[in-house]
Amino acid sequence: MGGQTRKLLYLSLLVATGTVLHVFEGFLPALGALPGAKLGLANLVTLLTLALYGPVETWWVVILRVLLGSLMGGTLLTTTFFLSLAGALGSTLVMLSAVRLGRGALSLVGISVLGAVAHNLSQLLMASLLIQHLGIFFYLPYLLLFALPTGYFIGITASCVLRVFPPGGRQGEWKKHPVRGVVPRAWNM
Amino acid sequence: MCAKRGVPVTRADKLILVVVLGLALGSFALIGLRRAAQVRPAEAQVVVEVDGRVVDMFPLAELKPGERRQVRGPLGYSVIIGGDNKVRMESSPCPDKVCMARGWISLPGEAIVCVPNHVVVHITGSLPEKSYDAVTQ
Repeated sequence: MGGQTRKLLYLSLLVATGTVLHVFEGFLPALGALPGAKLGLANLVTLLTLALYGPVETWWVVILRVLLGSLMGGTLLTTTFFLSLAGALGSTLVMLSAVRLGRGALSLVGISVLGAVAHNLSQLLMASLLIQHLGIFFYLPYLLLFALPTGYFIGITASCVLRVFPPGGRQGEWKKHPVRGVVPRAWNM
Repeated sequence: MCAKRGVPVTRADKLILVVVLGLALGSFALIGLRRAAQVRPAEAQVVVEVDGRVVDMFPLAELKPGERRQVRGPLGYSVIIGGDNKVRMESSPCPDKVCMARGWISLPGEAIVCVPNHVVVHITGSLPEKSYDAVTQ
């Protein structure tokens, strides 16, 4: 299988997995009075794409995942969709910046926590735009507190998946990868 | 099984965890302090907004326990109900009912927000001049 075909195949698998996680997360009931407090399962796929490929591929996977996930979950162009989109774009922007600025100091765990915090912030920003009121930022401390464990465990899960997911990674190259602990170029890209 | 082999949590990761935890706890402390310092002013007003426009405004004391008011948003009518100098969302046409789960609000600065129905109910009222009986120095 050629490098490009292989890459296309794996990116499609990542989009598919992200879509399923996105829809599945939508089925989970809201946690009491905490809107936007969720596990961030779909962020797992974003982290994997970010570690295995580059920024361009990550944006593709994130945007396709949100569009397809909202389409299948029946939330396309509703309030939920705009909140999802804002959260996904905001967290991706912050996570990609963290990879670039972190210069190997951060692992997927730190990047994931930053992404979770950015997700909450951009969702609240979008929500306050939708309702033309800043009162919703009242929830921020609760969301921040919730983002810690969820971001942490999603980050750990992503590093665990990466250990088995890329078959035949070249072990010697990990130090050059912008994310600590990631074995890059698992398959010829 | 994976975690046993050492998950790569770096020093920078831990720094991020500590900073976020600090921000969260700090803002909780700020909110708590503000609330503790606050005395319910007699002139507290309930302000009801839809899409950022004030559609209703009345003194909190005027809303009797059990009295209801309807607010029309894009999804339908949200109903607020009064209590003993407090107010809560009694029913709402939104799917997640986060606004109803918010419960009673009574102090200036507190708000009930319903994102799907674009309804915001918040309380305003000037802070009292002096919140403490005395301060020792």
